[in-house]
Amino acid sequence: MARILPLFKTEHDLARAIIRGDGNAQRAFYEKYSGKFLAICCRYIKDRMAAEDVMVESMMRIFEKSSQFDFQGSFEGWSKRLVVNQALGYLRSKKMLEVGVEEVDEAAGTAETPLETEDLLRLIHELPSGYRAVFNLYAIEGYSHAEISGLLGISEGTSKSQLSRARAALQDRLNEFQYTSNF
Amino acid sequence: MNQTDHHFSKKLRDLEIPPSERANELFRNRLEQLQKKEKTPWKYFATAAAVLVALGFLFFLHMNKDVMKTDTAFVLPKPTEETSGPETVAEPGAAETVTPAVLNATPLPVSEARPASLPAADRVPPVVKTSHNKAKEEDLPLPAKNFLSDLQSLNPEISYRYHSTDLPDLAILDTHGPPELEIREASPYEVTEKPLPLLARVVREVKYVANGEKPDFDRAGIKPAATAFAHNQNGLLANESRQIKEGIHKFKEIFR
Repeated sequence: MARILPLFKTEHDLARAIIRGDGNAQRAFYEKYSGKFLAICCRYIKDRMAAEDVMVESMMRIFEKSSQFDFQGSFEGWSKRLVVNQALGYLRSKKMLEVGVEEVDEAAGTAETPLETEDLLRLIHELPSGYRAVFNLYAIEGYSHAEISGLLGISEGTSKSQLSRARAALQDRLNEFQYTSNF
Repeated sequence: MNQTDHHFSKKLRDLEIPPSERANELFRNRLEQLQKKEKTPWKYFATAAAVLVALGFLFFLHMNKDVMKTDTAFVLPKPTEETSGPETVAEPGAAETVTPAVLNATPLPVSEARPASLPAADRVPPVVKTSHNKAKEEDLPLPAKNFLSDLQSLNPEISYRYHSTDLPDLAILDTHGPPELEIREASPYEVTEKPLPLLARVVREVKYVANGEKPDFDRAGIKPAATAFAHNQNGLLANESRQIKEGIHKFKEIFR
């Protein structure tokens, strides 16, 4: 696709053009953010093709709902939230978002491993989808437990426990990597 | 923030994965569909607006039926003071001419009678309606085909001014009473005679002359043609009759 981003000087210009239904703006938006949004989708959805489908679907949803953007914050942030919701919706539709209710203590782990991004992504993909969702939302997207409980329809306590379990599982996996890399 | 969280967040937060060509193709198709979808409501709005405008116009016409009525009263000459007769009760400032056209929009089928063919004594000026009998006029029922006799029964001395759009020159007929007119039924299949072209009229005139009649340049269309010719050549002239005469003379020479 041709680069047409310079047509829109600011993000809000781009948002305004998208609200107007300008095809060039929509293509420019896809050009600029499709990579980021696909990465978000890939964090939640293991299957790459399904993640791409969800990303494209999110783009369409952003275009359709762009008139609801109030220009108070960043259009990118607003769009990211839509993408996350879309990915969670996909998991919900596939019944992959079943989180346990067991309360577990927070595991303390401090491992700084020289892992590549693909490895980290693979580690996340190895988590159960419920853990993965909570971990992604809390650790990477920056949602609070209250917001997560609202998004996933679980209690804050459940959200916290899922996060702890996810962290513990990831720490175990990171330790395994460290151990294997030492040998 | 937990160090595990920080570790993952640092590496994955700004991660970008370029979409495959399949995803790009999917996006293009979906965008096309979306743009078509966005365009469609305008068609519905435009159609709805057009229908509303049409309905509004029809409603307006329905509410203002008078607008649709053909009022031909304005084509009649205004009554002058000389035309008011002794039988009329004229009040200055409240005079109004009563014509059948005002009472009834449907024209009366009239034969080709001309005012010139009627006796001069029968020509009576139009009646002048006073303000006090205006209300009575409004209460009058709409006359049907025999409105002449109806009006006469109301006021035997009423004078009538008939006009008919059937006649080519909008002939005006003033009478003291209803004249005996040959009322012919207007046929829907009747075709009005079209004026012949100049050449055909000249040929017809030649035939008349060959049968022993005197040549009539007016009937042959030469005089009107000469008039038009003179106008076209020199515009409006001071001595128009002379130009017309010259034109007729030229035509006569050609005719010989």
